[in-house]
Order: sequence, then structure tokens, then C-alpha cells
Amino acid sequence: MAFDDLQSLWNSDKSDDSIAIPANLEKLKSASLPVDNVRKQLKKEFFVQLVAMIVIGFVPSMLTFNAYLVFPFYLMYFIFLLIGGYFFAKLYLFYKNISNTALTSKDNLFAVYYDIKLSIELYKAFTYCLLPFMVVFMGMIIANDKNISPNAMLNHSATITRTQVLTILGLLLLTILLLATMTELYVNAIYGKSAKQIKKLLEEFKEA
Amino acid sequence: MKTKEKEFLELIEQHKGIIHKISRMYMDTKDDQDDLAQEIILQLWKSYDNFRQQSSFSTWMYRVALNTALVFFKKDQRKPITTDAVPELPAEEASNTKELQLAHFYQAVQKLERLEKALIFYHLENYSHREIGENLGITEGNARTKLNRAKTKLKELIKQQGYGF
Repeated sequence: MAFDDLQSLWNSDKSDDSIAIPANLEKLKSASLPVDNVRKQLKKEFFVQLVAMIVIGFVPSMLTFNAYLVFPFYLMYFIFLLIGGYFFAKLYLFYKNISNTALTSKDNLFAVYYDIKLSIELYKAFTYCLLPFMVVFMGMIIANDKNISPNAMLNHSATITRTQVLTILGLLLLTILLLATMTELYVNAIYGKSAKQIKKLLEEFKEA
Repeated sequence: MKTKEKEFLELIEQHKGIIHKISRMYMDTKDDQDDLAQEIILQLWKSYDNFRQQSSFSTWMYRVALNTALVFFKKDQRKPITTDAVPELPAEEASNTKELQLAHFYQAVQKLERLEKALIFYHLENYSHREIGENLGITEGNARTKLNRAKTKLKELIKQQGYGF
């Protein structure tokens, strides 16, 4: 078979009856495009986070918080919701943005790659922004559980040793580092694969 | 059905050969080819508003269809088809020489990299090196070099299947 034969063979390939043209375009759903999959996954996770954020709002009534803790808790919760809302709005805008697949293949791949990277970074930023709030909320729950009053806290701080302060700070740092590492590993395991596949594909476009 | 949708489906019907060829080049099994074909139609529909008649429908369709195929990964494995496993030819396809040759061609193409498939596709659709470069977003020289390499590789692959050039 010569390459010219291949050309005539190609031109003669009329076996396109196997293509099923859908009667209704609205019923078509995206199957395996990396950006669509990442977006779908992110959407699911943000819904879970939204439910978690709402549940957190009921913590003071569920754990019958001491009166002095309720106001600081809801003040923090308000800021927490503002930050959460900002990220939800970002995600919504990102989700609504339909990429232009009529770009050149290389530009399209770059767009897909950066869309995936942007999704990943958005997710990470969202998690990191909420992390300090989670630590403060945990602290409040512990303080409430131990029934520590503001006066008692002040008295305790007066007698607290340097080693105890360092231990608390160390544990706090360790918790944050652990959560950050888990987030990184989780995000890369779930979403990183698509980015790697596209990056590998982009390598093929480099000047020969 | 809305006029726009009807008009779109008519155009797809006229040009479905493009979708068929791209699906067959990029996916090895019938199920995956069907999935890719549906995905291409969906992406074409989603970006149909961007088609401003600046180019012909087929030219615009080539781009969108190939761009979709380039980033389409199999549902189960989600990896490019560059394995050594070559599917057996369906009996009905082997019934005549032309179909057999075509099946051998598509089998060999499965082993090419994704960009190489795009280059071969444009070449067989009679695109010049400049046009290939413009559509893929690479220089004309790069398109020429990569296309020549892809053609050599394809010839070798077909030869390995017992269909020498």
C-alpha cells in the first residue's frame, strides 16, 4: 500500500452511517472531557462544603454554647460565610464560562490546561482560607466544653508556662501542616491527573 | 424543534463523515468511538454560537472536532490509546479489500500519538503544511517536520501489520 493509495482509501471511506445523530441535543451530556470532569467534581465538593458551612452555623445551639462565646462565634461565622460566598461566586462564574473550542489546537490545550489549574488553585485557596476559621471554631468548641470563662482564661494565661504555649502553638502548626498536606495530596490525586495528561499533550506541540 | 437546532443537525448530517473519521482515528472500540462522536456533536453544539460564518462550516468543524478528540480520554482508563494491543478486525470489515485496508490503516493509527493523528488527519484532508500549522497553532516548518515523522511512523506501523508500502 502506497501513501497515495492511502489517500484514495481515505477518500473512499464513506462508512459514516454508524454515526448516530441525536434527535434532541438537550439530552446530550459530556462524557470524558477533563475540564468538564474537574468542574463536575468541584461542583459536587462545593455542595458538600456548602452543607458543612450551614451545619457549622448550628454548632452553638447544638452544643449549647456559653453566652459569652455566642457573639464571637457568629462574628467569625459571618466572616467565614463572606469568604465562602466569594469562592462560591467565583466557582459559579467559572462554571458558567464555556471555553471556546474553535481556537487553534495548541491554544485550546493551553486554555484547557489553565482552566484545570485554575480550578485546582481555586479549590486549594478556598480550603486554606477556611482553615484558620476551622481552628478558631475548634478552639471555641473546646473552650465551651471545658467551661472556661473569659476570666478563667485570663487567669490561666497568667500562669501558663512557656513550654505549654510552645506545645499549643506546635500542635496548631502541626494540625495546619497536616491539613494542608492532605489537601495537596487529595487535590493532586483527584484533579492533577487531568492536568498532567494535557501537559504531556502540550509537550508534543513543541518545536521539532 | 428550534430553527437553530434544526439547521445545526442538518449541517451535522451533511458533514458526519468528519466525525466518523476522527472518532475512528482516536478511539479503538466501537463504544468509545460512539462516545467520542457524541462528545464532538455536543461540543460543536455548545460552540455553535461562536461560528460566525467567517470560515466554512467544515473548516470550523475540523477544529472543534479535533480539539475535542485531543482531550477526550476513555471513560474507564482515561489514557491515550498508544498501547500495543491492537483490536481484531470485525469479520464484516474484512469482507472486502478496501475495508480490510482501511481497518489496517485505522489499527496502525491507534498507535500514533494524539498530535500525530491530527497531522495525518489534516494531511489526508488535503490541508497544506501552512494550513495544518494554522489550525494546530504551530509553525509551518514544525508542521512539515512533524507530519513527515508521523507519515514515516505510520508507514512502519502498517508494514508491521503485513501491509508494506
